[in-house]
Amino acid sequence: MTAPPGRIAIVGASAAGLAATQALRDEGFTGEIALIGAEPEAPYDRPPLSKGRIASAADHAQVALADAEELAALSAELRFGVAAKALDLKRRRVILENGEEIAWDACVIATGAEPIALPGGGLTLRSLGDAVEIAAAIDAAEHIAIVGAGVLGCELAALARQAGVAVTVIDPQAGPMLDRLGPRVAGRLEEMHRAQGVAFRFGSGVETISGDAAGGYRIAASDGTTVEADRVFVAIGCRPAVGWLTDSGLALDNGVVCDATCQAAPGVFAVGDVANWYNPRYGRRMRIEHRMNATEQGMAAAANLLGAGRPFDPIPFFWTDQYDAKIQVHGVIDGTCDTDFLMENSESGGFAVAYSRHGRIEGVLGWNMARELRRARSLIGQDRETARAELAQKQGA
Amino acid sequence: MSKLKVIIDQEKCVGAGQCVFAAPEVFDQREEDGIVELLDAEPEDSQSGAVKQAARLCPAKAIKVEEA
Repeated sequence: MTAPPGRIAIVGASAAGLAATQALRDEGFTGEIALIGAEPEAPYDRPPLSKGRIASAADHAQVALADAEELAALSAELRFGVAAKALDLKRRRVILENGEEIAWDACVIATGAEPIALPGGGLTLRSLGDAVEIAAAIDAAEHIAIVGAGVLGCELAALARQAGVAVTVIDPQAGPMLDRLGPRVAGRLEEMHRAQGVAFRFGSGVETISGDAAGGYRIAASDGTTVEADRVFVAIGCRPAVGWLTDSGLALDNGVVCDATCQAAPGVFAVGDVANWYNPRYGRRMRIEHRMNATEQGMAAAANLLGAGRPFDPIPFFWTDQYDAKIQVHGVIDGTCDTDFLMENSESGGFAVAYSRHGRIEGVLGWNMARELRRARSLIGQDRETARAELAQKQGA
Repeated sequence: MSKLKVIIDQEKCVGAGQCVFAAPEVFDQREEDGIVELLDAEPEDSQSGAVKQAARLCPAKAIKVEEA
């Protein structure tokens, strides 16, 4: 690397952008930093918005990622409440929506992802403001319909049920989080939600949503049935927030396409939900919308921006809290993996599962098994048959 | 010799265990629910790098480190 950059622009001031900024200072970068965020609030944490603390989460102080002192310690120009509308690679500028231009020698793209909405309405959840609306809807409703049984849909279902609201979840798949967890664990999840009183409509998409909050909503499902509800939540996933990069010349394909060091173009890096990078540990590209990755990738890209040249090869981690269940996953898993139960605690109902692909363990899941799961993480990368043999020996002993 | 002071917030903690990977001599997880617990609230200076890494990595921002 030649001379270090004099001025760095970080576009996106959530977990990933903030982590990159902090890491640049930790690594000893003394030049100028501009931290630009579309939202008016100082950086805040998103997982609590859907994980049981929704009421208190509506209070920014409860979820702030940095207090005033920590923000000041960044010695950065903080530009909150103004979105970027374009990136000019040739002139090395970020163009803000108000027309202002921010010059940079190096740039970090951390604009995250946007929830996919449906025509006809329904609340989506991404921002603090969204969480306030969701909390108010749970307070006001007797029956909520949730479109999508992914992580967020399941978390919202749990929150609404815990508030005593009737819940119907609609999803084209055959089970909750099925594409992520596979049939065995999704089955356990479905059992838990049903025991809590959630009604599921599986195998059916949504044709139309009509009505409003005053008179109630009517959802026409693709199987010909209808669901009526006071409020509708839409939790069908996010897409990377790359609209402002359309004319930048950067390669965009399910996010900003980066190399293994998270670099998208000379001096331009992408981190967090928006980054599609090559993870050498798994030998494939991935884009990860998890809280842990935002921090880790922000830190890794900051080091690489300053010349470290280290491939970013994490074992990803995510968790979800639903009722009393804490489900944690280390590694990269999906519903097509082979699953092996590693341990089961008949008293607590907790268990741990290994997920394998092509005979190699790629991830481990724990259900109320946090401490044991940390140890099971070392199985990742191991041969499945070897691990099974060792497990059988241990259980037989 | 300067010492560090480590403060944890068990209410915020989500039990990810990343702090234990980063600084196993300072952090552990409760057996029953995986919530963080301190093995050493005032670790030696030699732990500084590991403890600060743990605080940075924590996905719930539940760890604070002060130079005592």
